[in-house]
Amino acid sequence: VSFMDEHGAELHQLFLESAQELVQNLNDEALQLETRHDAQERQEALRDIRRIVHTLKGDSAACGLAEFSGFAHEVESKLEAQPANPAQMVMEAADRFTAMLRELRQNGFVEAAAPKSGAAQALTSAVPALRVDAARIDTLMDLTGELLVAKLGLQQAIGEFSSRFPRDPLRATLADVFAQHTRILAELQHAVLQVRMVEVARLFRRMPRVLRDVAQQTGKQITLEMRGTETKLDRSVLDALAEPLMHLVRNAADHGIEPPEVRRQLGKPEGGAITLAATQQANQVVISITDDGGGIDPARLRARAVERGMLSADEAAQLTDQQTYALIFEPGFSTAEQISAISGRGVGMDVVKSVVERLSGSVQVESSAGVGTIFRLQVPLTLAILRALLFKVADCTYAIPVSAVMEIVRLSSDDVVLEHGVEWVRVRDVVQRLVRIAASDAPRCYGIAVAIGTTQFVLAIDQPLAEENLVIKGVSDPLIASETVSGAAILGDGRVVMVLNLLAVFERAARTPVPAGGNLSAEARA
Amino acid sequence: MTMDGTNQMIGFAVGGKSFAVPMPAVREIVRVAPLTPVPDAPRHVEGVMNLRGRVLPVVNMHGLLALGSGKPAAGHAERIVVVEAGGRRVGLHVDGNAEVLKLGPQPMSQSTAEVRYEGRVIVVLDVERLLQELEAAA
Repeated sequence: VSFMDEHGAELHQLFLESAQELVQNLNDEALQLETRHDAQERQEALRDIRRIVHTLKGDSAACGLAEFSGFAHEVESKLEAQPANPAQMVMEAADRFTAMLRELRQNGFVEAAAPKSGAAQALTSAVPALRVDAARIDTLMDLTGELLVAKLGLQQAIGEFSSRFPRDPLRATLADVFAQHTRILAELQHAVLQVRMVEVARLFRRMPRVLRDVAQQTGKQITLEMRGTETKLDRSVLDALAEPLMHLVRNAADHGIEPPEVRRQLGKPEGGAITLAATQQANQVVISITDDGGGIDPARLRARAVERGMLSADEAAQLTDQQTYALIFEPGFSTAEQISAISGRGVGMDVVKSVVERLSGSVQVESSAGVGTIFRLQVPLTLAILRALLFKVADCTYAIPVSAVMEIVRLSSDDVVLEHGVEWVRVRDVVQRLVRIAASDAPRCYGIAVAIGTTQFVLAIDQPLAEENLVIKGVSDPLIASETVSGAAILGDGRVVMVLNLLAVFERAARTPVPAGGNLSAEARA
Repeated sequence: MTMDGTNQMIGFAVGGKSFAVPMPAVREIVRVAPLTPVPDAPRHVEGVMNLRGRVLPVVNMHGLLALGSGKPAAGHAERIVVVEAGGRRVGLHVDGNAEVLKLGPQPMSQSTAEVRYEGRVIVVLDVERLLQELEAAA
């Protein structure tokens, strides 16, 4: 890679980042233009729009993106001609810019001519705050993680020295230096994590435009309230949540909120309300999407599940309302009549669930007929560090998030009942499903009672080990990627440990019946 | 191919037979570190190991090439040949005897992947294809 190539790639990255923000500003201003009636405010919005489009034109031209800058020029000319509905025109332009940016991100800048010399200075929108490639921050994170592992080795060596030379005055010095080292390392780790954190506002601000489009297509009136926008979240988590959140907001507007005439008949205000809220709870962030619409009718969901052959009538009748709501996340549950031009495209509810679960998070829904629906997405603050419980099964060490662990219990074969290919175990008078990762030979076994969202089960293990803060690495190589693994980490002794995706483990077990006789080891059964 | 027309390869033994991979595909050769098995991994993916902070998938070459007991002959000579292909790094678990082979300019015939070297027959492995086949088996 030549210097020019690398330089060019960096410039392109810079352009993509700043252009995306400019397009977002364009959407914001267009919405202002559409909703404000004060002539002066409208003038200000229009002035800002012209400035943004001009900047986009200049920046893209500096990067040699002829098509992009050509389109920006077109938009400028149209604005000069004072169109009848400038807000609509600008939003359509913003959509086109977004599509072009997406294409550039996916296909790279192959079509683009080489950037002009001095192009970086020409990027007029380059903000004074430093923009850094996310991969560089990940490298810092990895190195910090390796330092933490190396620290354990140092600790061991100091311990050995101290026991070998119990009277050596150097012991105290070593202990002091080590304590200092530990403190600085903790600060470093915290500081690196902070660099990755961004405000939820970055994601939420895309939603007014999403909602406006649905409102316009359906003739509904919807107000959007946003709370806790200053809540911070790891950028990779936030980026992954963009599609699911957009889907849920569209869905709430399209299916949740009733048409104005229906609302009037029900004695509700004609305009519906959707609230987006983010709060931090310990190491997790909860994002909720609340609407004051008609709610989800559990009876209709049960009927549909039976209709689709997903459940028998008996099974459906036995579901609690909470279990019934969970059906909407099943693949293929939404019906053709439900798929409209708005909600039918893009991701479905099953994708919402799988994206959130891949982040080791959970999604829950609560609904009340006539009052509305709340979707709650719970995700970890960061994917980089995980407080994990380590345990052993069949001589292998695995890790799971401590946040999912309710308690650890001793299991004996008397507690386990096999029924229709499913093992059940009683923990504190509650019968729960027993899930195994591997057949085990351990004479005694333990169970970890886990809860992720509304899913609860007991994971059979041989031996619980320690709790540790793990620096998580993604597992992306197709040779080792698996739905049951959410990541990997390196332990203090240098070994790799796999972090399990508990929900995927549960679902896997749910699909695989246990053979008669169970698979507890002989000794455990004895 | 180097400038003088010689063709350098890294040779190694698996189950008593000789194999080689082209030098440019090889990143390094390391001792076997403790391996961690991976749930649902394709057959012949033995597990992962820590390569200076990286998580490296390791392939059991005995199993893959259907040689010997299907397990590497445990011994001091065992090595992991770290190869790079298609932008990813994978470790090949081999019996050892890793050596640099300097092949003359003539020997590689296009039809077979076998070359003669100092009186031995050596099978040259196409790393990229090897990984593709492994994945397909997943």
